[in-house]
Amino acid sequence: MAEQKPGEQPEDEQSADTAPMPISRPANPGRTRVIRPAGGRRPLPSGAVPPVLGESSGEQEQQQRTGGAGTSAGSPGVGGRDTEPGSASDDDTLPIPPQEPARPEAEATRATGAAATGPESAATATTGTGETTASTPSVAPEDPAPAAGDGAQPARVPRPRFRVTRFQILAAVLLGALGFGLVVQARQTTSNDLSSLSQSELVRVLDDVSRQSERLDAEARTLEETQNELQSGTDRAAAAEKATRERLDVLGILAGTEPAQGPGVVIRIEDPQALLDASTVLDAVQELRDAGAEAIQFGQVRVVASTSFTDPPTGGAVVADGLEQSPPYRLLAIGDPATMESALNIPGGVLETLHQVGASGTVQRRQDLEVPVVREAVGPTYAVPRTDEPQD
Amino acid sequence: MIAAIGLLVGVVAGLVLQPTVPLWLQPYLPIAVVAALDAVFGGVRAMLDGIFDDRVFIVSFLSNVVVAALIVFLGDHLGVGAQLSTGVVVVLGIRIFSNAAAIRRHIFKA
Repeated sequence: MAEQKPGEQPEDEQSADTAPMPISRPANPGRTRVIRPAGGRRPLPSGAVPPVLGESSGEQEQQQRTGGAGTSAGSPGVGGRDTEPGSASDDDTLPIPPQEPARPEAEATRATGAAATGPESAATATTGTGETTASTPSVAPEDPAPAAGDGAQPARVPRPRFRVTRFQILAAVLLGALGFGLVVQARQTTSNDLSSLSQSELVRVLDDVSRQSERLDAEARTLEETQNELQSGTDRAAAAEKATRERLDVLGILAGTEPAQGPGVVIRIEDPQALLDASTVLDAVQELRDAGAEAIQFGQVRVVASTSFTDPPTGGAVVADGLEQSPPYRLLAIGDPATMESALNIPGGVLETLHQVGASGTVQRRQDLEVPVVREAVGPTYAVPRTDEPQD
Repeated sequence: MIAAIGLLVGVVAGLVLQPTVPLWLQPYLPIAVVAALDAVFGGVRAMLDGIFDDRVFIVSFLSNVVVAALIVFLGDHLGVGAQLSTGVVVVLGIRIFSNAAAIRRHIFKA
């Protein structure tokens, strides 16, 4: 439908609609409407001269009337329909009986021409002046019309006001559908779920989502790595600490900084005349070390790698680590008792040597021997651990 | 009057029923609504001009809706649905604006 091209005059609608429209104008007269613009225009050129005005409008009316008559004669149905718009535009005035009976009259009136034209032009003239003078044109045309002529009026006045036609109902239904669709669409758009998006929008949304997902995945991976690092770091630290502790124990025992206990042997050396010299005691200690002794105590001295056995210059008892010992000497050794005992007893071994010297030694196995004496650890002054080696 | 009541009833029905737009109608409903709005504005303008015609209004309303939906349908099948929808909305928007301008001149004389 091209009836409402933008920029064109409203008449487009009518012209586009072809035939029915010209009729609708005379019929339309919903004349309050049709005439009002006419009244607005006409007074300008010839507002002061009612007769001229009446004539001109009469001509126009005549033309319309003839056209309307011709068309309505051809198709009364069209004429019937066309009167309806008039009723629509007159909505706000009075209700009037159906127009069907009125129409023939109206056409008759139009056909008669002169009779109708008289009142018609009078009415138009009145309207025109009314328009210029008073601002209530809708009432003005009504009044003069009945006064002008009874013959014309029945056709005019019967202009239905509140007549409900099929088209009006249809228009109402359509508008109802429009309102319905408007609200539904607005709500649909407001709800803004994915189903209302177009394909390209969906693709974009999908892209966004997958990009975000990738980013989050990467972040999750990084965090997992960090967690693993920290966890393994903790584990390593714990393991290192444990190993260190064990090592500390071992080294403490070996270095003599910790008391020790376990199975072992006790060697008692009788040397009443103090004939024993340091080298013999050292031999005995070495023999025990060979046999796997792990902690050794001589008298009240913890025997470690740096322990010294010396003979005092004046003779007499053996001096260990600067501490003079006195017979009988007691030598405690933690290790495998059997191995150490047999090592001491072998022919040409420690016990035999003691006999040769003039002393005597006895070996006792103990299942639970304690070596309580400890020795102060002396840190190295010059040596440091190599740093390129693992610390453990 | 009756038409205004119809519009009101439609709006209220939409608000009360809160229906879901069926999937097949979703691409067309917005355009159809805009086209119908165009027809309504044209009708109001014609009414103010005193040349309103129910029949013209109904036919233009329906044809506007159908043609707009048809254009979108064609566009969807030609792969230019979005662009055609935009074009239809632009054209209808221009028409609505010009009609609104005419209505404004009638009402405010300006």
